[in-house]
Amino acid sequence: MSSKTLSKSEIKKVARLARLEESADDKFLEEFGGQLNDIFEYINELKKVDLTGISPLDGVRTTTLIELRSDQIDQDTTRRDKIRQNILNAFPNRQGDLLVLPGIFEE
Amino acid sequence: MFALSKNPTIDEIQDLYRSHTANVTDVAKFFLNRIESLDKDIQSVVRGLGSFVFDQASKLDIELEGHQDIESLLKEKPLFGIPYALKDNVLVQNLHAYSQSKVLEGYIAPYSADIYTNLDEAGALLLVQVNMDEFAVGASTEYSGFDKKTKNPADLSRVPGGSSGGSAAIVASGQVPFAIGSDTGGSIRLPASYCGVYGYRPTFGMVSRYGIMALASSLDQAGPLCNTPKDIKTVFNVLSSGSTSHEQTCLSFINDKDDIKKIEPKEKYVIGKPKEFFADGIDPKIIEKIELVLKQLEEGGHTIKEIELPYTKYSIAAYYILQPVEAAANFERYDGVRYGHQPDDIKESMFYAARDLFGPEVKRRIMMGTYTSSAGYYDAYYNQACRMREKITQDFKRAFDSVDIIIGPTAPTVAFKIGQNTEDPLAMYLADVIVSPQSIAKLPAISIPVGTLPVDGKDLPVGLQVTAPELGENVIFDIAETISKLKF
Repeated sequence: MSSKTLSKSEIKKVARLARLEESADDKFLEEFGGQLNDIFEYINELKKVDLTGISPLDGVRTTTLIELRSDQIDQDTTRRDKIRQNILNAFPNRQGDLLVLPGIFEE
Repeated sequence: MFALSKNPTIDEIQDLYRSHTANVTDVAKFFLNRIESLDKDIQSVVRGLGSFVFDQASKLDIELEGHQDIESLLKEKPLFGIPYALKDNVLVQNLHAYSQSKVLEGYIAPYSADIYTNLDEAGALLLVQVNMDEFAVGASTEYSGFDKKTKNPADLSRVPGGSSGGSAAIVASGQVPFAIGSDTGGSIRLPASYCGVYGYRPTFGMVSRYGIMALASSLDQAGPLCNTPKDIKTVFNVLSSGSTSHEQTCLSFINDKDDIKKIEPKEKYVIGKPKEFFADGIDPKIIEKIELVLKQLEEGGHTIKEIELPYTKYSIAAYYILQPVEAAANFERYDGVRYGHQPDDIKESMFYAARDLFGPEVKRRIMMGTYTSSAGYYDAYYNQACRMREKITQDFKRAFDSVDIIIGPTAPTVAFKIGQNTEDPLAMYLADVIVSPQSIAKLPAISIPVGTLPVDGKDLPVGLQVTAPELGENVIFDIAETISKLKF
């Protein structure tokens, strides 16, 4: 079985997907390329194991303790409002009641 | 005036209140003084809390003075007046929390974690916040995003383990009686083993994750690090005491469910000894220590049974696919928009500028997770890891048909030297080889200190790990108590 090594262009593509593109300079590609390849050689061992008959979702279906909370808004309005204010105050760029974001439209 | 032992327990501190020797403010000052003198060498604290501590202590002192019957106060609030440390990934409303990442520098928590609320309602006193690997990603605390190097109290040239290294080191050095850590793939148990304290990972789902910065949502659990099994049990019961007033918790608490029962402790246990946990790659001197404990348990009437967990040999490979995928998804929120570092220029590149602040290991995990879950690759990698997860879970289920608990070492080695593995991520990952299976299988597990090994003139702690089936918390506390009384 051939070992998978990531090419520089593949690493760049993954960096774009992960929004880490700013970091993907040559130094990053050198350093990470080598380390990622070592790691991938290791986890490639998993591909060799025959696990037919098991669905990836099997574990999820049999989990005992996990339940989602009820779909309810917190009834404690004081607590809720305080948290809401705190979250809005943390927003770094505000103009009054407007929260500033970078534009995503082209010219 | 009073004195406390090198590693004071909850009982020891509460005896001061029972005997009216001290109040909470006195105790807070005592531990803050200890921190001031000891932590310059250990470097576990990332944030002192100034007047917050004394405000909380004063409130507790008013309660203390108002109670004729101290015993009933201590019964109602089992952690009354006990100072503790919180890992920097736990939110406390209005306090800073950075998960030791530059990406969150300056962040102030808008709400409190459920575990903090539970600890607060039980009367515990938050004293300091402690160091961790950035976003809980690491096995040595060396990846802490502000380059703070926490030392192992047993040997200052060695790591405390990670990612809850600050939590383990501060408890091992007696600077607080307990600390809270988080365990995703061993991050409580590994540092507990390296530093020589008890560290407990609960059954997945027992402790609310609300307000704990997420790393991998199907693997994260918060838990206690303490110096005795009794303290582990006391703190755990508080952490898992979610009540229905906490409507925003995401998980059902066992206390509210009649049809789910915790497993009862027994007089004598059948103890599984998996050959995979005693294989090559584990330091033979560590194996010797574990065998010594097993021998004494056998002499005490417990039964030792050799078992096999064949798929656990794939745990690391499965874990290092599952965890990075979930981490990459959870770290998408760090985009510099709603919180955290903000560059001066609002344009698309702000996403990159913020995310460039992640440390190298976090970037590695995000890259790995993005790749293995991307189109064309996720069936071979991510889905395969999910299937492997089920196989590992089945291995344990099958084993627990014939044994009550499983015992093995916590780590393949004692604490390694600072700087030894930072350039070799794979070597760092292999430290998790016998703690990641339990996370994958969602099982409770504890690391118990079982003596030390002499290395380079220092005595380095060795940890023994007990794994129980889901809901086996009380079994674990029981056997931990038994083991704590043995000879090492």
